[in-house]
Amino acid sequence: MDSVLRGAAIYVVLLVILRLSGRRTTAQMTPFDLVLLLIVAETTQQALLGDDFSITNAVILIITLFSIDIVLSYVKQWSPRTGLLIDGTPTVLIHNGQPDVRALARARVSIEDVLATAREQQGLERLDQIKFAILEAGSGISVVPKA
Amino acid sequence: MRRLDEPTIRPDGLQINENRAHQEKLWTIERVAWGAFIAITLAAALGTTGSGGLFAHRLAQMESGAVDLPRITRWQASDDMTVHFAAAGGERSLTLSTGFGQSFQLEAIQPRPESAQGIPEGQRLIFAAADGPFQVVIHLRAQSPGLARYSVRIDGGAPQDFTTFVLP
Repeated sequence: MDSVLRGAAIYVVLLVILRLSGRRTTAQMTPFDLVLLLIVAETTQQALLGDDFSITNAVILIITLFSIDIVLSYVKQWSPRTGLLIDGTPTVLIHNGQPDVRALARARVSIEDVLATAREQQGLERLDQIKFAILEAGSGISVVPKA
Repeated sequence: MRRLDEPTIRPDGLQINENRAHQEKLWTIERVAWGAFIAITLAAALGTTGSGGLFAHRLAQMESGAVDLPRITRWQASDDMTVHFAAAGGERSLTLSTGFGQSFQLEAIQPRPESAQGIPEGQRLIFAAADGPFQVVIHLRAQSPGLARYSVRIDGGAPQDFTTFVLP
């Protein structure tokens, strides 16, 4: 029982903290962010396992974490409100070539981030070549070029 | 709208479920949460979550000495309790109630007691002491989260009740 409770508690805590930290795109990650992520993983590993390093404990924890994830994916599919709460919604950052300054500032995304994505995804050179830039709910920035 | 349904096409041609009002609320909640993160970090640095810091321990004066014990500790984490015996030679005793034994595992006691006795109220640890004050450090580990209630008695003095909050 202890393993299941630990797994569920850590899952919820990580979900809430990561959601509230506001980090929206992996493309914005710096090398230091990656190091922080590794430290978080190491810290949670100790809280998850406690002083029980048995294979049974590890298997129960893995199954618990995957089960919660699967259940949550169904809950998000059936309840849009839950999905909104957990994943957020996409945000249009550039609309018909016009940057939405407020959205960019609140999402902490710079024009440079958008331009970098435009170069990587579409080979675009300038801001005026972008029709839409969207901060996706879970997978970074996507760019639609002007026709 | 269920997630399997198609998002509507906007007048600008983009087929997307953008809920800006919700996102605005979320951005505000995020910023409130960042304030809470800072407050929790400062509170933890002050010891309100145990494991050292200004508020993690308390010093209680007793008839024959004093006890420095954890006010807040963490489940399955090591902590310590220091018993300061006032000056007096001979045999000195420290009595810990049954509640203490149920709440904490004793990992080490320095100096080691000469003997330990099981008594109706819990356990009595006997120390052989030279003249002058001395202190005993008890390394302990909380066994379950919640409020631990116990009493401590130094020598023949009156037992004093204490509580330690054990964080999960």
